[in-house]
Amino acid sequence: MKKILILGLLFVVYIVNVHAQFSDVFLDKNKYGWDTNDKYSRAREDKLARQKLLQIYDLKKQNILDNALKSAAAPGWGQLSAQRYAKGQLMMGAEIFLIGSFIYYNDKYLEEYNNYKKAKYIGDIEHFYDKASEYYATSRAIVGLGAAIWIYSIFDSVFTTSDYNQDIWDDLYRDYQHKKIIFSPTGISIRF
Amino acid sequence: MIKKLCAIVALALIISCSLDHSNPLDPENSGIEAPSEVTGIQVSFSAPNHVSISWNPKTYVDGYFLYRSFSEDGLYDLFVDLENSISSYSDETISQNYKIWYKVSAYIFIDEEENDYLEGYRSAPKTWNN
Repeated sequence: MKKILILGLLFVVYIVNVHAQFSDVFLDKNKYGWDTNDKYSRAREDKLARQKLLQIYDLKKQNILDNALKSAAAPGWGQLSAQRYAKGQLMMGAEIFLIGSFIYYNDKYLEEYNNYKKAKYIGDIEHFYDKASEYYATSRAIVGLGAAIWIYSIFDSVFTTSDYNQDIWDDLYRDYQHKKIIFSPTGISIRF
Repeated sequence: MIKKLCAIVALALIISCSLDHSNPLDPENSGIEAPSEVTGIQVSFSAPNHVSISWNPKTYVDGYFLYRSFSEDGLYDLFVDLENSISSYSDETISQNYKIWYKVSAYIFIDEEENDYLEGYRSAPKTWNN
């Protein structure tokens, strides 16, 4: 009976010791400066708040691929979606202007080239070929410029959307720090 | 990186610009040499309505076109198509009140049945001296 009591006591001591070791590992309050329960609970509240901020951020942020596809469909659209209006309008305007210019110069090229193909006078052959070449080169340069803006718009929409998402996060976090966003057991409220 | 890529795309499209010489009469395409400019053009007027135009005959041409206009820099209409053996022409359809300007060019047939011809350079405008 005495042996059983001694063994039981040793077991209890062992369990307490093991528990204390685990507590030291997982509840090292000094590791993060949680030396008081108050600091610990504030840190925990902060963590929960950040998680809720992330949820709001996930709802508000834009998908980079979606905006890149928008810019591929219409240059500047991705930028407009990411609220970079000046840049988006500039790109869209430039592209519309270039498409209009391309139609004009391509039409002139086809007209002059058709005249060239029908010409029988050497002077007309040279004149219409030169004019057709001039319009052809101009229309191709416009296509090149349009393609460059198109590609730039797609790539730029990626960075613009990233910036937009970063701004969303920064705004949310700033509002949270200034206590404009309040988390409560009944929900989230934003104070303006 | 993006700017470089855009510049390369634009440059590639600009460099790739070259137009085919698809006209079968184009010397660049066919290798056919167009007749050179007609030279030695003389224009003389004799009352009341007779204008005589002459030029140096050319070899290896199939004919000549004679153009005329009411002003030196105006629009020249094809007045008459002449055979290669002819090197002068009399215009008796004018009025004494008007000054008429003439241009002459030579042409060669590429396909006579299809009326495909290549016309050489037109001469500088000529008129008579008062």
